[in-house]
Amino acid sequence: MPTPRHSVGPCPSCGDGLGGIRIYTSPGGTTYPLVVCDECDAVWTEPDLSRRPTFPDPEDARSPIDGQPLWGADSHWADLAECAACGWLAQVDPTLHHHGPLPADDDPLATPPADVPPADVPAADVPPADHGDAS
Amino acid sequence: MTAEQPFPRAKRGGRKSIGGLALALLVAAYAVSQPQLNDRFGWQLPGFSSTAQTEPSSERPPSERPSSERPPAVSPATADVPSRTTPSGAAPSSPEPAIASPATSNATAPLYGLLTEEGNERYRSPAGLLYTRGSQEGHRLKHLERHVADDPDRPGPHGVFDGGMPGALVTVDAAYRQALAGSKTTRKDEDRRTVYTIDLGKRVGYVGGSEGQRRRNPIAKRVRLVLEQDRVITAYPL
Repeated sequence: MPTPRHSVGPCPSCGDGLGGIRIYTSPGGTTYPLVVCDECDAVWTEPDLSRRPTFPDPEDARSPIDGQPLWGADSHWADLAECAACGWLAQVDPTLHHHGPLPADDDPLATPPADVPPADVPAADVPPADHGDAS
Repeated sequence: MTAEQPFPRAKRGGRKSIGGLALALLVAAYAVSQPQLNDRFGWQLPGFSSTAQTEPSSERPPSERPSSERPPAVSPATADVPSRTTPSGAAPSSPEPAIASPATSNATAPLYGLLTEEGNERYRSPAGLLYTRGSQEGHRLKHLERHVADDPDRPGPHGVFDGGMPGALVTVDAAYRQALAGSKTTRKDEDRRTVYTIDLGKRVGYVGGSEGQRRRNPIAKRVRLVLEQDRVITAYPL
């Protein structure tokens, strides 16, 4: 899926891009989130778009955390539970929600699902999910 | 009284003639000024000829229009491009299949009739822009393809180029040339990146996405071009 499901805002660098929350699984199995612009590849390690982004190599974009491919198979756009699990749910802009194949309860404007973990769970404990949308 | 009837009838007939003449003059004036008004102000005034049916309507989103009403290529330069056309002659809005695998395309034939392959899946445009691997789609040309069709479910705006991939490439080149000339261009530099916003002064596409749909898909006359030196990161109309 090319469009982020949940975004923290429009990309301040390119304008029309979405700063989407993307989940990465490190080789050790731990996970971490990044905010990535789906239009211009700008990357933020925190869900604060007022901070200065990093711009990866345009031909070989990689995560600034562990160097894995920015758009590789070990990453995917986060669903709502993953946004909550990494503690970034409060930064999600509900008006930028993109409905994908998940049921409507993934809409942050609706009541979050009951199995959403509390927001203070460390990001490393977020279970990896296979959404098949990695490119 | 009956003897006086012809005179008033003749007078009424004269009024009709004058009225008809005035109407004809108004129609002629409209027919002459309509294209200029559309071009100058970006209006979508209907015309009298069959071309009126091929002009995009501002009343309906482009995604809902039949192919015969899709916008044509944006520049006369596209006449040099061996672009696919629909039976009605309108430029396609769907991506060209050739870019599905740039590496397997014929290296001697310019891609889309425009791009010269430089090896390693790098393609150079006539204006000097470089399209390389990268982006979520795997190649910048594949990413550009996202902007030749609307994505009405996408949150926010989504710029859509007229004229399919050939039209998009020609427009991006024209925008780049204008940006280098510094004409009607704003420039923002951030690290290695340069973000140009170029006003091309004529329709180059429309604003789609959910925001565009909400605004009834307004026309786009500007292009945003994100570059790293001569490498295209992204480009879209707005």
